[in-house]
Amino acid sequence: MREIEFTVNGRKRKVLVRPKDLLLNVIRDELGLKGTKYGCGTGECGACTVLLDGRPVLSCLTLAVAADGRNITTIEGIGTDENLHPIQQAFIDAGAIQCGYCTPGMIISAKALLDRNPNPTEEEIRRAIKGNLCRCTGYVKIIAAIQLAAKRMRGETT
Amino acid sequence: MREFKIVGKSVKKIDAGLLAQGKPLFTDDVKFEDMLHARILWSPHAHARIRNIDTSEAEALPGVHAVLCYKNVPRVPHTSAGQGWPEPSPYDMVMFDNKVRYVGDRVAAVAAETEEIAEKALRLIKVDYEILPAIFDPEKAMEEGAPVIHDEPDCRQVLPLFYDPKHNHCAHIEVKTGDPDRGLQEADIVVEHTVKNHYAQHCALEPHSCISYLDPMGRLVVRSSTQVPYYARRIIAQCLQLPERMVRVIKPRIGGGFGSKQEIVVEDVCAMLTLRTRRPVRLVFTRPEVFVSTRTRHPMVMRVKTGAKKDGTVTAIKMRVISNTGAYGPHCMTVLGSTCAKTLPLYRCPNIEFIGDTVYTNLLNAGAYRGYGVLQGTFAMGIMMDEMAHAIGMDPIEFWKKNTIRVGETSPIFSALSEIGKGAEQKVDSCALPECIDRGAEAFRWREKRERYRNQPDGPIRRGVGMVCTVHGGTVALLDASSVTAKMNEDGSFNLLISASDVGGGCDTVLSQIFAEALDIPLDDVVVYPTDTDVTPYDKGAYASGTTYLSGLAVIKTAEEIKKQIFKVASEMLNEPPENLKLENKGVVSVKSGNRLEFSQIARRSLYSKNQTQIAATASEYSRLHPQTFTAQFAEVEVDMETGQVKVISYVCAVDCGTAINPTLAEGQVEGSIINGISYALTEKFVFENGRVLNPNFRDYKIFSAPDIPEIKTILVPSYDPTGPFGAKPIGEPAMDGVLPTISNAIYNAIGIRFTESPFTPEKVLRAIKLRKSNRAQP
Amino acid sequence: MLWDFEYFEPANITEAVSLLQKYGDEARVIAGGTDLLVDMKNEKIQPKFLVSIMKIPELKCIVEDGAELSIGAATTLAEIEESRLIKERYGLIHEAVKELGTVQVRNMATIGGNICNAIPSADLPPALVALDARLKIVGVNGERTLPLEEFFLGVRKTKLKNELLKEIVVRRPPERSGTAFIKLARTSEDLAIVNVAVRITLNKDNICEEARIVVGGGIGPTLLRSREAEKIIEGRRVDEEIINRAAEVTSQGFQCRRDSIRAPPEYKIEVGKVLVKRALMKALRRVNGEE
Ligand SMILES: Cc1cc2nc3c(=O)[nH]c(=O)nc-3n(C[C@H](O)[C@H](O)[C@H](O)COP(=O)(O)OP(=O)(O)OC[C@H]3O[C@@H](n4cnc5c(N)ncnc54)[C@H](O)[C@@H]3O)c2cc1C
Ligand code: FES
Ligand code: FES
Repeated sequence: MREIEFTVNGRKRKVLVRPKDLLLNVIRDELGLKGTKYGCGTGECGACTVLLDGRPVLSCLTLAVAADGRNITTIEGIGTDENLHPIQQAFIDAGAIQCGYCTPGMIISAKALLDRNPNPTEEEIRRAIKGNLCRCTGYVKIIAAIQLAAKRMRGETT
Repeated sequence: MREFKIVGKSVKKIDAGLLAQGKPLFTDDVKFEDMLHARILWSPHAHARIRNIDTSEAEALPGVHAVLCYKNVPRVPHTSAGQGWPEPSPYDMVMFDNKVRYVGDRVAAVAAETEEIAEKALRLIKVDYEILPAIFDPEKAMEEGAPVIHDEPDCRQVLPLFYDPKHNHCAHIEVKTGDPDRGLQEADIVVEHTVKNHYAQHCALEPHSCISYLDPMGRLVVRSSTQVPYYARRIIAQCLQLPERMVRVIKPRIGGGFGSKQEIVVEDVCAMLTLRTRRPVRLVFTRPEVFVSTRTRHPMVMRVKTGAKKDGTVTAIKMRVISNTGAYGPHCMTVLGSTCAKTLPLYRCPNIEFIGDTVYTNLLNAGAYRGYGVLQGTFAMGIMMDEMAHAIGMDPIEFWKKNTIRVGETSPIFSALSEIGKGAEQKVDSCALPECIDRGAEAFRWREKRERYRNQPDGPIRRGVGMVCTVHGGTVALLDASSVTAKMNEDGSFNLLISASDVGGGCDTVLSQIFAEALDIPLDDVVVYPTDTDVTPYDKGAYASGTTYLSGLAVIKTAEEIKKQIFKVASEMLNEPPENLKLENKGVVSVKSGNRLEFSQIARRSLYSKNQTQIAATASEYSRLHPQTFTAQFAEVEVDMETGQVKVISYVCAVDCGTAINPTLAEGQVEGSIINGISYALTEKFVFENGRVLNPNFRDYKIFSAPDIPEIKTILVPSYDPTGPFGAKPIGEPAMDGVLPTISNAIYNAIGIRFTESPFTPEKVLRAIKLRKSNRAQP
Repeated sequence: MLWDFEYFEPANITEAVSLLQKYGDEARVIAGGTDLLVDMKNEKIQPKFLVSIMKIPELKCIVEDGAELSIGAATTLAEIEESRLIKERYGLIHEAVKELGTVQVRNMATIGGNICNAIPSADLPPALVALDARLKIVGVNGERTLPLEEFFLGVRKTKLKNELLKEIVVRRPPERSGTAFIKLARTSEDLAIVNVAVRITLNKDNICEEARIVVGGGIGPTLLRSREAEKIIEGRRVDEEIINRAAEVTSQGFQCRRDSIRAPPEYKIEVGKVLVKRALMKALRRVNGEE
């Protein structure tokens, strides 16, 4: 066991972990943040996506020890109950959420995209969420939601 | 058509905000004090008898609290299929058996302090297998001398249905209407094909999950990712030999189901471990376990022969089907039945013969999957229709229009067969299929594209277009039922207690909309509480596309009851007879005096002031018929003649689902179905080696992600079904039914080769192209 | 599931290689972990010691020196994708990395891992071989250099002996070069059924001076550089006919395994040929500024 310390959603957290503990399990079981999901455990579905130092990574293939000292953002760190992030709002408004199991990972990927590229093409949006599987929506409304969010964040529409 | 206030509006899904924030709403998002973790040991053999199993070392491992196997659990034959009762599926499984029937069958289970200990314990279980010959070919499974998969004496059908396990033969259906042989004789052209679809997995993103525990009263509480909470309760009680009152099933948010969670595959084991250990137990499948040990789509071999006259009239349809249910038979008869009963009413052909058999093999266990037999039947018929149209030189659009059922008409199939047996008379109460075809064709630019691709120059890339029409009868008529409870609160709002199980499609929202519309209240005044069998009344659950339709009818009936009670109180308060009263904007108004009462006044009076009573009602509906949902689907594909790769460029689906209670959610059902369908048609497939799945993960079993999807357009064609809630019809499955044949037809249009076996993988397409080339070279 | 192991995070190369030497076969380098942890979860391998190289600053770099580019082994694929230098002057690498995996994978995965994992379907090695890549490898006894082409011994087998891949060095394509990378897969997110990287360099008379034709993706236990095919092109004016012949000859060198999950061998041979042809045509168009 070793103690690691990282910043999660803006808060410093210390946890005891074993080398083999995956970031996904630490986030869910130790930190109790259940928005990050298990969908495959092998990097293919993106349900476990979190931001590590601002970049989307797969928490199911990240050792918790390797996150020592770093900055993590999970879905719980995006928007607040009173003030949803525009991407969250756009997902709701565009009907991009069915079962919602893929949604946290999808929103994290979308946020990483829009943080770097406020005006993405549809092609760029599709590529940015290529690593996030959704079986319910067929992606149509998810792509539309990200376009809507981008527009709103650029102040072009409400 | 009626004007609505809330129905027909794309209000936001009521749980979307919470889901967007990643709130802990799913089965595995809660943690219980003292919770144990369960893991299951799976069979490495396709067919074997367990001579002995030694669990002593596993039991001795510190941290292990229980080990289950055939030796220490009651042997209760049952079916995992979540269906009405008595089930039309054979009782051919027990919690643990001394025989395994496919690679991935249950052998034993462990509950331990951690998942890791449980996993270690599994490896300490010693199983002595006597390996038996296995059978993988469904077409040989019924042959004399084939290995008998269910040789146990206690497997049986509980209903008086055909069942012959000694020949691996678990369902048989024969239907004949008119005179098919004469129909074929009268035909100018006769077409024959063998059409085969393939195994596939639902791939709901949330794996099957369950947490069970005992409440302080010693009752068993099961929190589960199930589509069918009431059936789950019944089957858990059955397997554990408990009365239903000792079991409570709670369904939290579910991460997609598509039929895979209409099966009891985790709950019985998890609950049994709780009974044994008296502790909370968690059982969550890994992705490979979901792929192999839950359920899949029934692969079918369909031999079809049809005839048509030169004028475009279809004169006969003969279909001979072998359906492969794998090692067990959940839904084995009903999926097969649907291939006939819910598919063939589309065709205005009096002469139909359908003979179907479902067989056991030592392969993956098939079950319910979006499309449920109709998808298979539509694959076959969609190709046949295209081929017949081609043979007589008619535009498929005209051919389909000429041969599909119309409003007010009936099909002899309706009364000949239902999904579960003998059918019932019914007619088509609403049908906007002709409009679907026209509007779909227009949006797709069908004629223009057909013309353009007819004359395309030779080159490595060829394009083509295809179309298909579909019907899908929703619900299981005369059996499925739904109940709804509503009660009024002081502020004039309502609790709506439902067991219609939202698995992502949005029925919590849709049913709230229907309730709000029926009582003329804002949506915010409906507090919906989904399923908890201790609290919410009986409902069949989420399957057969029936939720909006059937639970919607129950919601309306409940609202009517509530309305009566409100009028009773209001008429006392206003001193006016109920006949004078009408509902208006969360209040009651007298059409005579113009006096108005707010719901909150009525609620307070009823609860606190006089003749105190809780305004509340429970009402039920059962399904009287199969509401018919129609689609017309169009695909444009691009075939790479050198690599065999098929790409879908654009897809249009025009749907008649009656009133779309929530158009955005309805579109979502269509889009999800189409993309799942295209992904199934082109890339998804299980790879087997001696019955073992070699690709039980998303790395090797490919499903579409965002860059793979074509341009897709959904058209909701307005119609109104008089039998449905505010005119609505089902929408969950129908769009998926048509994708395989639409793409196959488009490939045919592009390159002149007909693919009758799915999936249309590049290697298959390229092989066919090469074969044709070499055949042409040597005439 | 992962089984127990010890985890080290050395701060420099020396420390890393001494750990690798000390624990020998029981130790593994972990970089991004996108291959290694999957293999460990599937219990294909069960190392007792993991040596992370992600905290070694020297292993993260993209530097050009003259006509050569060095990429540190622990440089992530996202860093490579985002490098303007690579996009502009080593477009072939950019083209290969762009479609590799997903955004998340590229943020985690490293170039060293993509090479050292030695899976025939890996996307970067063909592109790197087409740019004459050499590997700088460090062990306790010092550093050696090896052409990437000679590095692979088979599926999951390399010439590393308790050593660390430190750096990959590639040659900048000379003037009048055209390159192309093509990957054929089942979906947009998939390992390659076949991938092809090519380079052709022409002289001022449009005669091909140098050609590289490299094919990966399970057409054999390792990638294949077809010298026979290159010879067909070199010294000639490149046209469609020559290209077709080169493609044909390349495919004769394929040694496909029996059916893999992704595609049967006959198919790989057939499309391998098509891809080589298409890649060469594309490269040719690019030299001529037509694309
Ligand atoms: C969802 C997904 C999609 C993918 N798609 C693709 C794809 O399209 N194309 C593709 O090519 N790959 C793909 N991959 C595979 C993988 O991402 C790459 O191979 C990646 O580059 C490996 O790098 P890594 O840093 O993660 O390696 P690791 O997993 O850390 O290591 C891989 C192997 O290399 C060894 N190793 C790593 N670095 C060194 C070093 N410097 N010296 C010595 N040994 C070393 C390790 O010991 C291990 O054996 C995909 C993976 C996933 C999970
Ligand atoms: S759970 Fe991490 S990618 Fe699927
Ligand atoms: S909404 Fe269900 S998986 Fe995306």
